Amino acid sequence: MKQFSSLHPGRWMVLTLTILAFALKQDAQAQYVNSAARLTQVPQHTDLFPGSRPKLKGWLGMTGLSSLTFRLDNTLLQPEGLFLPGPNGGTIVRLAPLMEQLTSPESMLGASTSVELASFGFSGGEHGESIWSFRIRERLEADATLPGALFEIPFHGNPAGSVLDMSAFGLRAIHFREYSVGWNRAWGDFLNTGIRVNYLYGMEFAELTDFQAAWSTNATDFSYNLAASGAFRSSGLNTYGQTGDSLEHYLLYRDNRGWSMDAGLRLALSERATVGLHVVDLGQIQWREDLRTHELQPSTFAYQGPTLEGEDALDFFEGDSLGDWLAGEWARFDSAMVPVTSAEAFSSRLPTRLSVEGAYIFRDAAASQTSLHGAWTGRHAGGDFADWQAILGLRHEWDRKLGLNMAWNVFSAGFSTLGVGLALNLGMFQWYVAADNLVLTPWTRFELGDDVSFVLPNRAEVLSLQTGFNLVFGKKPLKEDKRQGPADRAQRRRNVPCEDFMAGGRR
Amino acid sequence: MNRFQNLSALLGCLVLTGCVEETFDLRPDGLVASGAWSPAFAIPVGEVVVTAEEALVWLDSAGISSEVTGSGGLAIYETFEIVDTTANHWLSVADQTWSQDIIIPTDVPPGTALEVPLNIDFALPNGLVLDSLSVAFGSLGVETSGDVPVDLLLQVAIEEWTVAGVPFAFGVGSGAEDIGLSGVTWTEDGNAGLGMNLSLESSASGFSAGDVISISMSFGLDPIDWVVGSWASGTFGSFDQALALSALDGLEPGVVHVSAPRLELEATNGVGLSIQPVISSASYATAVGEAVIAGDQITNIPPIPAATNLMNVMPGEWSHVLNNDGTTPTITAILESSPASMTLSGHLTTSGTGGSGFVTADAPIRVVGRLVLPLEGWLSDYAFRDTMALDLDQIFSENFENRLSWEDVSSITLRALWQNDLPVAVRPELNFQDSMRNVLATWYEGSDAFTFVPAGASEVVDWTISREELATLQPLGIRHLAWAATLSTPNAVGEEDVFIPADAALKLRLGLAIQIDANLNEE
Repeated sequence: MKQFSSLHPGRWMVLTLTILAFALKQDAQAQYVNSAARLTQVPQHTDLFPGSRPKLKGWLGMTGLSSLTFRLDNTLLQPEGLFLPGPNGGTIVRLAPLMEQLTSPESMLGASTSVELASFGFSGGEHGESIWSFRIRERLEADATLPGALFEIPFHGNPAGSVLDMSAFGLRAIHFREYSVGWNRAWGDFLNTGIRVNYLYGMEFAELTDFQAAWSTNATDFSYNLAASGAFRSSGLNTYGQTGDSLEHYLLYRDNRGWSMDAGLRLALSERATVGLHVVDLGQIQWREDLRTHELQPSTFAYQGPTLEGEDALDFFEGDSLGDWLAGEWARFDSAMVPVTSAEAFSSRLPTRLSVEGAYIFRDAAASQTSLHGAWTGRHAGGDFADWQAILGLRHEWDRKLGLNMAWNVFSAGFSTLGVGLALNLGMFQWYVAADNLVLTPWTRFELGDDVSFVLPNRAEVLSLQTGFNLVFGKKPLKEDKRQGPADRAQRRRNVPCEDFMAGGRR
Repeated sequence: MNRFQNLSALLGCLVLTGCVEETFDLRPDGLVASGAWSPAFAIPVGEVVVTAEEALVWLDSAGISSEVTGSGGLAIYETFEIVDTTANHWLSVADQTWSQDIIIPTDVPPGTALEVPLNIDFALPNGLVLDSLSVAFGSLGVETSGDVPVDLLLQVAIEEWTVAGVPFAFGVGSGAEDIGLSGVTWTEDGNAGLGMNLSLESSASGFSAGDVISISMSFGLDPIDWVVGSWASGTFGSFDQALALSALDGLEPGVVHVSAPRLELEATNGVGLSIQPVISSASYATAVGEAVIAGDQITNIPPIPAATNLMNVMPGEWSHVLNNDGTTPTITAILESSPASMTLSGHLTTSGTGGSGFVTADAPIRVVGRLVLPLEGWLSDYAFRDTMALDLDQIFSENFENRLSWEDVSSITLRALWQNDLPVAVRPELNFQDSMRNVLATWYEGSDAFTFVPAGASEVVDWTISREELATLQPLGIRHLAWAATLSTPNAVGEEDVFIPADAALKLRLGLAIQIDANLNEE
């Protein structure tokens, strides 16, 4: 067997891509852990479903700890099946599955996190039909979309007539804070609505937008043609670390502001069935500070190798002729691909998420309740909802002290996961945790040096986690409600309309 | 409640932790590839555009030049020197001495001059009948002896000589003295020799009758600037020049037919004498020996005109053409036989041209020849050839550090897109050679025949060689890749002449397609 190092053109490429894939993760549903959206005891479940109603009279999130989300996604490369023990303690990299994974049409890598700095809510109205909430949340996400064509070159080359379309390539990173005020209201027995207005404070932003790039190899003469256009715009990165940008200014006084809105409704179809429609992150940030935009108009560069004419053709490879030509070609490329740099303010829309969901209670016991739920959440980016996640799950609640949700998640990228959510109320103290991928696969350790290593699950396109601690108020145990007779329940239905029901739980 | 907590703890562990089952070392030195790697690469190698005029620059290294003709065509030519001389030997006047005893006929009182007229002979070269002559840096030595008074004053005046229009005269005392002759012009008055007037005077003692005073003079007139006169006939230069005919090197007979070749003779004559070139012998080398070239243009050569204007010389210009009309055999026929050389022998003479005029110092007399081959005619399998080093083992070891070998290459295709605007069909060829330049195999385009790119046509030619073919050849030791472009004009068999415009171009675009099929499962 040949040493991997013998694959000179691809050796470093494989290693680099492997590390890159593990270092970056896909960001499909960044900062929203869908499995948490069904933990109706948890006030943060309305992050994704604002039309849903927490089963609470009020809550106070523990500062900085009420909601932490991490999401690491990777559809580029999964280590499962790629590596085998090699000779002399080395490692065998299996090229076929490596190529298959890397050259899939699109791979998305990303990482995101958010932290809730403050959160509280309380119910109001004559019968407690309204819930008011306030929230401050720091959000940070970065993602990259990598077209498979990018990896075609080292593995499959550029045969005559090939077109390597790299237009799917995307980069986006954003760091902002949102200050939110929400109002959730039950309208009678069958309708609950929620709206949340978010004031946005932007800190950093970078995005590759309107990017088009293709490299074609002419079938007849093998000449190359590179066509590209797009813009890279950023804010807050160009003077990063400079002394003029004080921490105070950075945290509070940057001139990047915006608004967004979250809204949703949930409709009861019967005493057991509900459907809901929710939209979040409908808004944009106007970036005005520390701006830089590099825009490349549609440009092409044709390369057909050196053109030798006249007497120069005779001694092209002698003296400085070849070097001169290379310098000339580079200058020609440079002049063909000239981005225009500007510092004009721009706005960036948040990637809006639209959710359609439903639930059906098929077991309604005295102290517990079991329901089947499903949802589809699409992320609107680039003009469509091609990035989506569908969920089918089972939720069970025991005596309001424990909520458990398990769901089968199907992602538009072509993989599925088993998600889980857990909410535990111990008196006023609430802890919850949710993940969209219940990772049951073995993990693998990769060593890069004597003291440098990292571990990864053998197969995990998504690693997500949301957890937090709240102090919750004002909800009676299920058993007390159950002890009430039908007449009492009818009375409550009139006085406290669909409070639980609209949370997707029992009435 | 406990069961709920236990379940929660279990699920939490499943989510948050996992067991590390394997460890892999990703350090590059320990990585091993496994599997097939079969990329294909298409590479534009480049484009060459060469007009017929530019292509002929290739011939420069062989000492062959080219030019665009008045009709927009091309001609290649070789220039060679036949005569490059001067007539300085006709200017050289040998140093001469003259002496005479002068016997004082009567007493001459002190302070009285004794006048003595003389006429002396002077020898001139090559039967020169002098008209005039200009001395560059000559000298005249004068010496007196005998009964010479101490205060002798000898004054000499030469009638035919002037300096800047003033009669040449000088005075010397007793003993020996040298007189410079720079700028002396000798204008002959029709009498042979030099007319000289001597004046002897002694202011103290005078001369007594019978005294004998010996006077000797040495004339050194060289170098001489110019001479006007007439000479007896003579030769200026002999030549026996073999023309190498580099353009025809290696040509097989019948490959190239130039319809109107010519040998141009051109002369520059800086001498004020008409000069007759004489070709005593013209021949060309054949496989069986020298063959004679005859014809009117060999025997009847016009004289080279004399230069004019002695004081501002205008050289005489001359040309004479030997072409198919006046040579036997014709020059076309001679060239078709691919001779190794042509030889011209002869000399320059003034015989028959009068021999009167002027000769200036260092005046060039130069005759050159130009064999001119206008590119109009026909070609039949005329090949340009060149060779480049090709060692596949070395290429792969140097570029891939022995990690890929030529055996990992499934096929190599060299694609050539020809745009042939020349009126000549081109047949490209490639072949592999060993270190001794023996042809191991020829790189065909999918068959055993090469494709001709017809005149004025476009053609795509693919040369593909497979791994299996390379596997056969490589053990034989491929060391060179030789290419050749064979040119043939349409209907060369019918000897149809073709005119090649100077700006007609041949465009060749090359691309390289490499299919790699490496099985990295094998050691």
